[in-house]
Amino acid sequence: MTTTPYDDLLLWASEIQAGSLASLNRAAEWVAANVTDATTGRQLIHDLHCLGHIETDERKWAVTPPTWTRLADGGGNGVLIGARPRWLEKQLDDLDGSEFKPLRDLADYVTENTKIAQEGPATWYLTVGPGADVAGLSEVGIRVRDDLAGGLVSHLRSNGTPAVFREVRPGELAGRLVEGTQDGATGPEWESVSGDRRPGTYRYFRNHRLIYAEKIDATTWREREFRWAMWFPHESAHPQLLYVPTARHLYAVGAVRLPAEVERALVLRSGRLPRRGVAQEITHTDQPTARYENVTLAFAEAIAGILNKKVVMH
Amino acid sequence: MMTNYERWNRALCGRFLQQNDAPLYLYTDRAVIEEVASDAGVDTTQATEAFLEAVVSTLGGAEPFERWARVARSTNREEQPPYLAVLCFLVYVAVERAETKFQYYPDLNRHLCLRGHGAPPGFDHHVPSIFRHFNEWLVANDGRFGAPTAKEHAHFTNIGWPLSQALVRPSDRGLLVRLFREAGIRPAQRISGAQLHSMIRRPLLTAADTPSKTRLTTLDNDHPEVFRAVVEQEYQAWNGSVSLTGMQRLRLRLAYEPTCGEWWFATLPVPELDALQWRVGNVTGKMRRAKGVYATPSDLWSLVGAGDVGEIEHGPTLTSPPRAHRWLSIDRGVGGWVEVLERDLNADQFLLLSDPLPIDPPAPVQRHNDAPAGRTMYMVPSGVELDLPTEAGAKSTSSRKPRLSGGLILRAATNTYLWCSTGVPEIAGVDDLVQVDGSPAVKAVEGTASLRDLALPPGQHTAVTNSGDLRFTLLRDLTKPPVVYEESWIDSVPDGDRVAVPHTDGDVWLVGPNGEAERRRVHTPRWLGDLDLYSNEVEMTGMVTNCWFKPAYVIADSYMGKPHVIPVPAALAIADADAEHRPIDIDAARRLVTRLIVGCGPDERRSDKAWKRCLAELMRSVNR
Repeated sequence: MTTTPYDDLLLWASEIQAGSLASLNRAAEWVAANVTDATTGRQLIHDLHCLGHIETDERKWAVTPPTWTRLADGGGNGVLIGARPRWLEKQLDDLDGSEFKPLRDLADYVTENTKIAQEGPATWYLTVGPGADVAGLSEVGIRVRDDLAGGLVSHLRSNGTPAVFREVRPGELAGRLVEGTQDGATGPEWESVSGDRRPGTYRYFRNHRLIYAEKIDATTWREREFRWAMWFPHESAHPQLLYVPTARHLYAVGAVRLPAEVERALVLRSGRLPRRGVAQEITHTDQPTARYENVTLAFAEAIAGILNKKVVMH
Repeated sequence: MMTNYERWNRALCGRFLQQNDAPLYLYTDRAVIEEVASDAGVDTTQATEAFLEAVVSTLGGAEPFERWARVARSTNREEQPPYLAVLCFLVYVAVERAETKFQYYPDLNRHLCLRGHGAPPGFDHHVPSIFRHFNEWLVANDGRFGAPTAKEHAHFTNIGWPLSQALVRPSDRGLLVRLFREAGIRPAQRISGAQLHSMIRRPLLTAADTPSKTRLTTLDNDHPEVFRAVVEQEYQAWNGSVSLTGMQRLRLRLAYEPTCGEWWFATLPVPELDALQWRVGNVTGKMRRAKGVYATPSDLWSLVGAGDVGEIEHGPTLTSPPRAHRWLSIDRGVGGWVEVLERDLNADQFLLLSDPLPIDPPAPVQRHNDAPAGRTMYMVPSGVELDLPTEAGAKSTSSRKPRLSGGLILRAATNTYLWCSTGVPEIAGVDDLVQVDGSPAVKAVEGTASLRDLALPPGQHTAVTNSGDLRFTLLRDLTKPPVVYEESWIDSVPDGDRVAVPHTDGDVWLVGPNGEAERRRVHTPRWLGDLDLYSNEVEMTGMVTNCWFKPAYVIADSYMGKPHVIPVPAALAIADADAEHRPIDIDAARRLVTRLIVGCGPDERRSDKAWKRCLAELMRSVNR
């Protein structure tokens, strides 16, 4: 398979392993300038994140350890996520000739070892038949996990959604979310307001940065990361999650991506990035959507529950 | 050959005399001058100085405006008015009068290098005459270049002419039109200035806080008679349309949000343009009351500073003026850092440049790490002044110093890059040819030479340019086994609770501890077929949690002959009271039992007591 600029970015991240967010931004912008579509560097970073290859915080990033996870409802197929340094790629591409015994032992059981391109680093499907000793992968540093997508959802359900409660205004008031605009083609709209007494979702400036918070009552704010704030606004049905049971597709409607943790859980159902575009036959509007593959109704409902929403059946 | 003045006049005619019949205001500020600077062949950074110099150089003699009054008298309607730049100059002085409020003449005299606080000689005759001739010229052209709006003022007899074009900005006029509509005023009625004033006062006080509201309110408080005259004039020019009077171009402002590192184009929200279609580069959208234009085209960085880069349907052109450097200030309305015209010493600002500053800035100025590719960004705290290079200066600096740019860098200190098709850097700051390791020379385009087509192998390389050599290394890899990775998010996530069984064909059975059994049909997920992936397992999690009894085992046929028997994890073995109770298919169940006990039972379950009990119960059940 021909490597793409997206694969090059993952290769770079795998070789360098960790660094400042600025270095990742620079690399991603450079790669984005080398692909012909409308991708931005920021989108590439989000894609790497939701594919499980990297982890970021406000200042740093680090590559995820190479990990093999078997997909739920995936016909026994597994995907390799995390670091993909050149030496490991070479060993896995030629399991029979690998210098590591656990990989040579695994070779007889492997039924699928293929990379499938997408608008991001290619998905690496590595599938083993019954009786294979996948634990041996740990000897070359590959972690083995069953159904990471399901694990992420369990984790979110048991730990709650990320939020910080504040009893003082989180910053200088900079607008109130115009309800229902989160799923528009151009993203959420904010209106100028003189106060934040009413319940709702507001944004504030703090240390030159925008902070998003939901006003819950007279003295309490729930501060959230932007995507959480948009997908979890105050008592709102917007944006919507649409489900197509026959195709097992879940559509997230609107220009704002799902919160990173939720998007990662959905992407790790198949190892594929969502297909983005307008799905008029589903939404009957020109709103942008992201379509996720291999989502069962139970999983879609679990995701909706995390976002305090209801799945709309198509 | 055209003189500098003629070039400015032609550029301003192009800016103001457009083919429409809307009221025409010659509102001229720094932004307008910068906007037309490139049409006048002048660098944007020196636009205002160049404009003033070009006009003032024509205003000599005992009576500076006498010559242009003569020209205005003799201008026929077919030719563009050669005195328009002079009128714009007079309006510019009125716009820039902020320091002296309505003391217009001191500023004008300063520009003309005249002493005194009074009017320049002949001003009271010639300036009204030029404005009157301009009005007549517009009328003579049937208003196709715009309807005249310049007029004498009852309180400021002579300077009323330029002030009539400068007292309120295009956006202020937009607000006035909105106030007329909110107050229920219809156009072309006989309403006095005092009546208009009292009708729009309340809507003005309750309007949203905007700079336009502030300016109009201040004007009303400080000079109510002037405000009434402005309102009356605006009303007379208003034809009832909601489009913005006088607005021909709407400036796109570069906006930045550091939290998510996002860049986009924004405009002020313009209520009159609400719901109209806009286009910027390759993206389109609708004007929204709260947002204005919010555009993130894929080619954003090639549009920044490219001039006219879009339009609003039936509305103004969207423009991004060229600038050597861009200042960004916090804008609460837009919700991010937004481009402003100039340095505000009272505020922290970002400074965006094409090239790093040639000399290190003072310590409080920090280089910002999240600059977009090919640009340099600084955080400049309030109170810090910077000497900035001009566009030409910046270019010459960059052309003297070739440097590596882009690429996937592994070690900055040693110019080491990842060897892959996207990893090779470019050579920036070169005007001519670049040769690497003696390979055929690469020609620089717009100061940058791409090395991608050279297919350089891993190893050390030397790029030779006219201005010096650059050494860099392409490295295949950095990491070698064994690699020990730190704990990550993977380690904090539990495995998902699921049960699956190897499966290639046929049905799957759920078996309970008390002889219950149910046959289920299974299908290969469609998405696997779409990707041409093979399926050798079937997911049972959904089925075991949707069964009328507590399933203890899942059994699937195997092409090897031995059925696969997989225990159901206790967490999933829950009877669903609402699930359909399907009767057991006795014949099929007997065949299953036969396969399980005759010769080829599952090896791994031979010593499993629970399995043996379950199988015994199943046998009893099917033989009952």
